[in-house]
Amino acid sequence: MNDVIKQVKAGNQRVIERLYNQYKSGFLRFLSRYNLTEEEVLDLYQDAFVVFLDNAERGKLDALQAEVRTYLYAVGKYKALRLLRQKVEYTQIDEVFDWQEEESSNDVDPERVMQIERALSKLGKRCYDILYLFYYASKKLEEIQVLLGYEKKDVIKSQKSRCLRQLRTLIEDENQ
Amino acid sequence: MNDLLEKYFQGTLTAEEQAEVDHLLKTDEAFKKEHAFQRQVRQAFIQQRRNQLKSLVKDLEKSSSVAWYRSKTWLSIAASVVLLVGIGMYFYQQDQSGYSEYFQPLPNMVAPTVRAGEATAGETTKAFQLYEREEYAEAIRLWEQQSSLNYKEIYMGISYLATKAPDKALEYLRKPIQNDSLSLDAYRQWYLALTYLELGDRREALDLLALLAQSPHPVQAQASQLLRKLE
Repeated sequence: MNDVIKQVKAGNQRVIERLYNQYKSGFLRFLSRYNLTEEEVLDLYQDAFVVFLDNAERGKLDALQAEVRTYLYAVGKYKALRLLRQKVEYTQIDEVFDWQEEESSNDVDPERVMQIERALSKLGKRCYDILYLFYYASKKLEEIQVLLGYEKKDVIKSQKSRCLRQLRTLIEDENQ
Repeated sequence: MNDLLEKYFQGTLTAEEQAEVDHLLKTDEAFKKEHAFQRQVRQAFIQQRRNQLKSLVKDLEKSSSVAWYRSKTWLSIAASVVLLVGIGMYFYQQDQSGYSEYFQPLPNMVAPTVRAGEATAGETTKAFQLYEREEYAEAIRLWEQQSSLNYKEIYMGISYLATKAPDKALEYLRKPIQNDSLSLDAYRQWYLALTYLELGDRREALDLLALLAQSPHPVQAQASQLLRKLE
């Protein structure tokens, strides 16, 4: 694993701050070719950097061969183009984006996602932890069992189902 | 169905199972819905985390645009600039006391002129700008008007020294610097020694120089050099 990625994964603030400052001006220059305001470009940089941090944390960049800068520029360009399409009100273009399967998913409805976010914050800690570990941290059920101190894997399985049902109820309640 | 979805999210689908999932996504509406829902749950967690990260990144942005002369990076650059300039690099001037040979104004390290021609410089910055342009009398006048300002004394002392008013310089260079975040006190003592020299007070000067030559100050080398020359 790239040493920088390792540091970012470990949450090394100094490294993260250095990286942020290091790539900023190049990125701003890179996106200056597009019809965007300075604020928009800075915002895109921050968003791209966030995507970088998030994916590094979740282990998605463990095998990254390319330079961090290449990655940031690619994410930035993708987001810039999306933003511009919005501005010009084109229909969404089908862009195949190798690194960000999540960003480009068309079946994820942002409104719905926000609803779920709100419902998540109403969940009890136990349920939140189970779902967090499974969906966000991509942990296997056996691992979650160990992490949360459950005796049997089956218990975790049924717990998770229960929690998902609870989540659904919370969302539907909001919609009443 | 749930088993398949479980494996999907854990990333443990076999090739066969993957094919089955693809098939179900096209044919089974209930499966498709549940699959979409769980993907959205994942997306919700990711979004939450990214919102947190966005705040963090915005803080990074704020701290990176702090006035650069107050930033840590600049202070370390300043320190090395002073070392490079080296209080010991001088034109040689014939002088008995040895003072002129060694006097070079301390570079402005407190409020550098960040942008040339910045119209809205504060009074402090103006004073330092005058100092940098070697308009010492004007700088002194401005500084006198300002109340408390850290490092004012040392630069005023140096300015008086530069304008051949060592008795006034003495007044300002005598007092140790409080809150010496830039570690300029050694320089203060150096200029104090030069002041004593200029006043003809060799004994005081030599004592001070001897002290400076002993400990690892930035001025240690200069102090020993001058000491040797005078003795």
